[in-house]
This record gives sequence, structure tokens and C-alpha cells, in this order.
Amino acid sequence: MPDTPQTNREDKTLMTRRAFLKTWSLPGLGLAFALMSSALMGSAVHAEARNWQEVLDTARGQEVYFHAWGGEPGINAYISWAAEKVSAQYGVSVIQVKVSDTGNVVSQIIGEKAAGRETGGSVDLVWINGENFAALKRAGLLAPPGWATSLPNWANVDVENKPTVALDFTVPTEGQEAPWGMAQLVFIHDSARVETPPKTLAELASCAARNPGRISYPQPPNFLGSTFLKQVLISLIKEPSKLQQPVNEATFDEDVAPLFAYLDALHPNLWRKGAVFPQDSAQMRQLLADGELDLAFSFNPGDASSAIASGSLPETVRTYTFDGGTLGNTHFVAIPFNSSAKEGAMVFADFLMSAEAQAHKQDPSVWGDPTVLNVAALPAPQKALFDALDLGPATLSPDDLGQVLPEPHPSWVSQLEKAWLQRYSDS
Amino acid sequence: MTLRTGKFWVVLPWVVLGLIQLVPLAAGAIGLVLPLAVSPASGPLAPGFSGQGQASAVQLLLAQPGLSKSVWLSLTTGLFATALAFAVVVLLLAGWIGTRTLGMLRRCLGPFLALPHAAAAIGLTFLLTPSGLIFRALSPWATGLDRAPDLTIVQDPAGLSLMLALTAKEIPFLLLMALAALPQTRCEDYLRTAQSLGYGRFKAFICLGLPDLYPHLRLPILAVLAFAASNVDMATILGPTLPASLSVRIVAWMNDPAADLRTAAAAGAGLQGLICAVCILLWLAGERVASTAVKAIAVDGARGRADRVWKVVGLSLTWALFALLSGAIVSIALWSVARGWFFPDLLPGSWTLGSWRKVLLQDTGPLVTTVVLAALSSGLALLLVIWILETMSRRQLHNGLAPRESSALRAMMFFPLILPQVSLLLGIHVWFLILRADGTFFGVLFAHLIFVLPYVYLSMAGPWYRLEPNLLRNAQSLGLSDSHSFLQIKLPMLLRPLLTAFAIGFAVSVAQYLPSLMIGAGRWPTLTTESVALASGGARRPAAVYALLLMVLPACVFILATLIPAAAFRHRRGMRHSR
Repeated sequence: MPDTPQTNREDKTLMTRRAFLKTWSLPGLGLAFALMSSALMGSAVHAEARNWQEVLDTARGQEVYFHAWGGEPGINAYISWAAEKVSAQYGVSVIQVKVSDTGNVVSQIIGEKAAGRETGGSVDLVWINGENFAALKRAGLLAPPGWATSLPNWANVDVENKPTVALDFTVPTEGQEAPWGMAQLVFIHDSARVETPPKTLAELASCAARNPGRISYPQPPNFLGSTFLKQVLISLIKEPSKLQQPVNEATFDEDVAPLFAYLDALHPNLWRKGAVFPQDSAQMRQLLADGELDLAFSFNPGDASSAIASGSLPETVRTYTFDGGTLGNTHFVAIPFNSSAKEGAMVFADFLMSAEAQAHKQDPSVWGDPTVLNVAALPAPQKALFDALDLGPATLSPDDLGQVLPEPHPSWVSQLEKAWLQRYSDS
Repeated sequence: MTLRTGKFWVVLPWVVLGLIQLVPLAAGAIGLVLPLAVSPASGPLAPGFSGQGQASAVQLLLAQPGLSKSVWLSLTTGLFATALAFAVVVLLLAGWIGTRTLGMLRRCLGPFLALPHAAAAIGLTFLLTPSGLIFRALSPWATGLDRAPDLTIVQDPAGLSLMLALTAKEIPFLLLMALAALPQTRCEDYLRTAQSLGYGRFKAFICLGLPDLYPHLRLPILAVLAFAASNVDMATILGPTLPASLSVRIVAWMNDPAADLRTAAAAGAGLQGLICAVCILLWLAGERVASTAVKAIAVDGARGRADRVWKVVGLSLTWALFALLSGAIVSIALWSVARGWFFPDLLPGSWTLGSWRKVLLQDTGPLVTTVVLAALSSGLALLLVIWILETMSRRQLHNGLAPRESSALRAMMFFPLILPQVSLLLGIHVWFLILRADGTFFGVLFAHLIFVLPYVYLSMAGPWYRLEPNLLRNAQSLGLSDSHSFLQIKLPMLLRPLLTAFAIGFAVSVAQYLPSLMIGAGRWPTLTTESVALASGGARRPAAVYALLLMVLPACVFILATLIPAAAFRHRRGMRHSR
């Protein structure tokens, strides 16, 4: 048994290689090109061995186009802050390209690959995780493995207690992306309006039935909406171990049947009777502020406190998680294969992992995004940065966040989204 | 340099024009077909569009859930919004031609014309949602609500709110086109004659005025129709989401990491073209039916004098829609400075200039990009239009003809406006990828120019040909050369329309969404792309700031366009009033 899959895998690699060459060989140049590019890739594998000072020297003066989701003004402001810091400290100028969906960036990179843009790509660094990372990794469109684990600040990353910093939706990162922050699905409610919010799926359904039109979830394929689907699936699927494996097409319908049975019953009691869905977490938060919804979802445990600080949510909102835990993951930054400023991107990624940047990020008046670092193991002056943080009235402490449920294999997401869309847009 | 010396100078403007107007069309068409025709993994010719497996693009498209609903939505919003806007304009003209009321309406058009579609959509959302300004104004004293009700108003599955918004936004445009065309028709004479014979205003207008006026309105109406059926920015904000109309989904598919969906997007762009074609054919068929009906009514002997009701209906509908747009603008202004603003408070509980500070002082990229793009694209378009008009006029003059507008040129100008933008741009985008011009500033500028040029031409051509040709003949008989009379007589006399055309071009560029989004590859965010991205989520405050700037910027340019001639002509009584 163990032998066969191995051979298969080699076959597959060979196939991909061949397909790769086929796409790449312009008439007459094919072989030379392929040899050259593989030689280049070979040398780049030893990025780890490169002297960090050398990277810093090369990076000076580079322009890094950082493609990052731009829907949250607080996050954009944080990125500007970090950009100013690396510009002052390392002479690297970082320009945020605000994208509405990281999928855009993935397709852009794929498009550049197909159009033959081997260097000088338009994306130098991308904010990424999950299926987007898996897609780029699978297609070989990322900078060679190992660069992220070679960064000086990698030493402080909490690999032991936060396994998702190296295991992105069950896919090993192999140092092809540098962890930036932690996320966990949390629920926000207004304690002045709803005293005891629903803490299980059953309670959520009965709460919606008692009080129709006040519960909703973001429309998949928005990642928070897809997360909600996964959260329900994890709780209801008969064999949870299946989620750690790629989707089995043959049993998929059967596997997800409990999820859709739950949703079918829930939808008539949803906001707008399930005919319209909020588009993202910002809209959910706005609808909570408007009093249209009783619950908002967020992937950032500090979100509610940030919103109170900025005045966009009332001071009575609180955060909580489900009994039995909620889905959690890590978000990263990755360098595409054709990045035109790889060194600059590495310097910025390293700065984002520094105690200074991570502590500033966790400040709820800034962003409120939890750190990827092992704070307890940090040297005293850096640990003090975290101790000084006031996490705000609506942020749960790491202990209160409860159990983190690991993400399923990325292949589940697209299948779930497709099935959801099929079921609810044709009806 | 005189243009007489060589054919080169006569031909060159046409070549440049062709580059901007026709090459993109051809390229767009080929770019659209290309991904459909290529087999999977056929390499660099179909960047990013090689699908998986053997399924063709069309099969992939047809496999998309809810496709028929999306298609139906595009068709119905296009046709109904256009028909409604046209109907209101007809009611208004029939009831009020030659009255002071119409003159007053005309003066009110400016702000509504300058209001970009994205900003209008954002404002209408703020106004109409169950937690919006209207419900706040009525709660709790009239509605008894202390919480926003669960009502589907915006983003309704049938697209009614989208149609309403499109109608409200297109009425000012159609009205302007009609008012601009009226002097070229004999409508008012006909109406006076018919009324003196005892016919009602409506009967007279529909049987005599409209047939005379309609040919001038046909192209603008078809442009409105194609726009309404394929619009993306308004539909993203106000349209249904499950499923969205086809054009919105094409953009989403294009941006999907799955290659299958990008292939489907290409086929979808073709389908969108088909939808617009069907809309136009249906409209033209409707024209036939209507003209037969009008002929029948004309000879039925009735005088049709009991039409006062319609007069009131037309005017009140117009004012109601204008009031809606004004309410939208007020909502935007409030949200741009609101801090905490919770239902059912009519006004924000606390205020902040934080969002303004961010946009104007910290994060100025989109603002600068928008202004530079608009100024450059409109300026280039204006230069090109003058060049072409002057070349043509001189040739006509030297051939002993009075300068007359070329109808071929006019039709050519309307071409990019009648095609669905999303299809055209998707096709062009493929070529930009191959040429590596995607994501460059000049790529985006070029894409803007395609859509700015027609509007600059349309607003310039009228005044240009109304200019008294004898003035120039006199000048030349007094010994002025072509170039001299052009620079010293024509341009100064045309200063007002020149600046207006520039302002219109500027406003059109500011409002562009898809060209910046699709060709800019996210590198050139503008006020429009940012505001749509923010508003389609829930980030109301920054979206409001961007939306307000979208209105204020063109308005400033329009104001300059009126102030400059006023200052320049302050000693010349004959130039004080534009025609």
C-alpha cells in the first residue's frame, strides 16, 4: 500500500513538470529556458543560508507592492504605520495595493505566469492563507520554500502552542509564508439588547425561530460566511476525521447533508428571510450597530473593542464564542515566484513578525489582531510591550476564547461554497 | 503649419481616433473570442484563461448556478429602467415644454448629472434601508419602531431598488439630451400650431413633437439601455446578491482563483453582449409598435384635452426622484462626519472629521490618482476632439461646404457607449496582459480615454457647428490664415463650451469604475473603486467620504468652467451668455 501512492505522486510531479515546460517553452527557447529557470530555482532554495545583512542591503531602495485586503480602514492604517517604520529603518518603501478579495491576486499571479512574466511581477507580497495559499503552492507560484523560517524574528514565533503558524488549513507552509496574525471565529452581541446570546448551533436556531429576522451570516464565498459553513459542518458531520483529508467527491453530498438540513431549517427565520445576506464582517457589524441584526461575526477577537473605541458600535457590545469551541487559523504574508522585490518583501515580513509590530497590531485601538509570537518567551523589554496593552472591554482573554477548532482541508471550502450557491441561488 | 499642405495632417486625427475608438473594439472582440477558442493549457496566448478538463467556456458558464436568474435580472433592469426614465422624460416634456418650470428644472440638473452612479447608489442605500434616513426620520413617533424593521428594500431579489436608482440617475441625462436637441427640432412650433387648433399638450407632443425629437434621442437612449443592462458599480451596491446580475458576476468570476470561473467569465462577457443586443432589438421593436400606435392616435379625431393629470404626474414623479437623490446626498454628507449614529436617532450622536482627515491628509493616493486621471484623460480627449473637428471643418470649408457634423463620426463615438463596458474591457484586458500594460498608469489612462472621448465629443460638437461660419469667412477675407482664425476667433468664442466639455470629460473619468478596476489591476485605486469596495461591505463612514468627494470634485470643475468665461468675457457683452 505505501508504495503505490508514492509512485503516483512522482508521476504527478513529472506531469506537472511537463505541463510546466509546455506552457513555458516558447518556440526554440524551450529547453534553454527550462534549464535556466530550474538552475535559478535551485540557487534560491538556499535563501536560508543567505546572510540577513545581505538581504537588508539588497532591500534598501526597493519598492514592495503589498497586495492586502483593504476593506477595513483600521487595518489599512496599521499597514501604513508599518510601511513608515520599514521605510525609516530599512529604506524599503511598501505600497499597499488594496484588494477586495485575495482571489483577485491569485488570479493575477496565475495570469502573469501564463503570460510569461517570470520576473518583475506586479505582486511583491500578498496577505494570504487557506485555499489561496494552497492554490499558489500547488501551482508552484510562490517564492521557494524556507525564506520565512530564515527570518530573524521567526525564532520568537509560537510554533509549539499555535500549530497553525506552520500548518495552514492542514497544508504545511514549509516556510513559503510568514505568519502575521491569529484569527478565531467570535460572535459579537449587544448585551443591552440580548442578555444571553446563543452558545450552540441548536440555541442559534431556536433563537432565530423565536425572534425571526435578527440572525444572518455573511454570504459565501465571503471567507467569514464560508467559515460559518465549516463551523456548522465540523459540529454536525458524522465523521469529523474526514475534514482533515481532501474532499471525497463520492461521499461529499452525504457528508454535508446534516449541514444543509440545518441551514434549510434556519433560513426562513434569517434576516430578510435568507433572500439577502450581509456581504462581509464590516457590514454585519454595521447591521448590528443599526439594530437590524442581533449577532455579528468576526474573525478578530479584538474587533468589538476596536469598534467601541472608534464609536461605530455601542459600549454595551460583548464578544463570546460557542461552547465546544470555534474555528481558528493563522493568516500569513507570502512572496510570489515573480516578485520584483523579494528582499524588500522579506524585510517587511520580518518587521511584521517583530514584537514591536505585533504588539502594536494587538492594540484594540489599532487593529486588535492577536499575536503569532510566544509572548511569555520574549525578552523582558519586548514582553512589556504586550503587558502594557489594554485589550478593551469587549475582548476575550486568550483563556476565555476557548478551544480552537482546526480548519478543514482547503478543498472543502470551494466544494462547500459551490454546493451552497447551487442550493440557495437557484431556488 | 497649415493643414492644407498634406494629406498626412488630414488623415492623422482619424488614425489616432481609430486607435482609441476602433482598435479597442476589435481587440476587445478578439480578446473575448480568444479564451473561448483556445484549448486548455495552450499557453501565453490565453493568459489565465486556460480551463481545466475538456469543458468548453460555454459549458462552464452554463453550469453556473442561478445563471438564468442573473440573465433575467440584467434584461429586466436594463429595459424597465430605460423605459421608465424615457416615460418620465416624455411626460415632462409633453406637459411643460415652453414653460418656465422646465427652465427651472434644467437649472437643477447640474448636481444630479454630476452625481456619479456609485455615489448615487451609496447615498440611496443610506437613505432607503430599514435603518436608513427615511425610517429614522419616521421612527419611533410615526412607525412605533425602536428597532429597524426586517424589510427587504435595497438589494431586493427582483432588482427593483436597482431599477429605481438607475431610473432616477438616467432621467437628468435623457432630459439634458432632449433639451439640447429641442432647438434643432420644430417641436415648439408644432405644439403651438396644434394647441391653437384645440389639441391638448400631450396629444400634440406625442403625435407631432416626439416623432420630430426622437431621432435625436435614439442613440442616448440606446446608450442608457446598454448601460443599465450591464452596469456593475450600482448593481454591486444596490442590486440583488443571490444571485447578482450577470455583469457583477462576470467581474467576480474574473477575479476568482479557479481557472474554470475565469473561463466562464469570458463566455459570460459574450453573453452580456448578447443581452445588450437583445435589449436594443426589443427597444427598436418597441419603437415600431409605438410609432404605429402614435399614427393611429393622430387620426382618431380626439382632441385629448383632459390631460392636466398627466402634466402633474410627470412633474411630481420628476421632483420625487430628484428629492430621492437629494436625500441620498444628505445621507452621504451625514455619514461622512458621523461617529456613533444608532437607530432610531435622526442625527449622529457624536461627530468626527476622522474619516475626512484620513482621505484628505493620510491616504491621499486614490484622490490624487482620480484627479490626475480625470484631468489628463479629459484634456487629451478635448485636444483630440478639437483637432478632428477643425480638420473636418477646414476640409468642408475648402470644398465650399458649410461645416456640418458627420453622422458617421457621431455614430462611431456612440459605439463604446452602446457596448457593455464589462465585455469590452474584459476583451481589452487580455491584450493588456499580453502587452504587459495591465496595472500601468498609461493603461488605465487609455481605458479612461475610450469612455471619456465620446462624451467630450458629444458636448463639443453641438456648439462647434452652431458657431456662425460667416464669422470665419469674414476673418479669412480680411486676410487671416486658417490657423490664425482658429486661434484668435474660434477658440476664444468657444471658450465656454470648451471648458464645459472638459468638465464633462472630467466628471465622466471621475465616475469610471470598471476601467480603473479591470485594467488597473488594483494598483490605481480611485475614489470610485474605493467607495464601491467599501460600500459593498459595511464601511459606511469612509465610503461616504469617498462618495462625497466623487460629487464635489466634478462640481468644482464645473464651477470653474462657468467662472473662467465669466471673468474672461467681463468686458464683452455679446459673450456673456452661453447659448
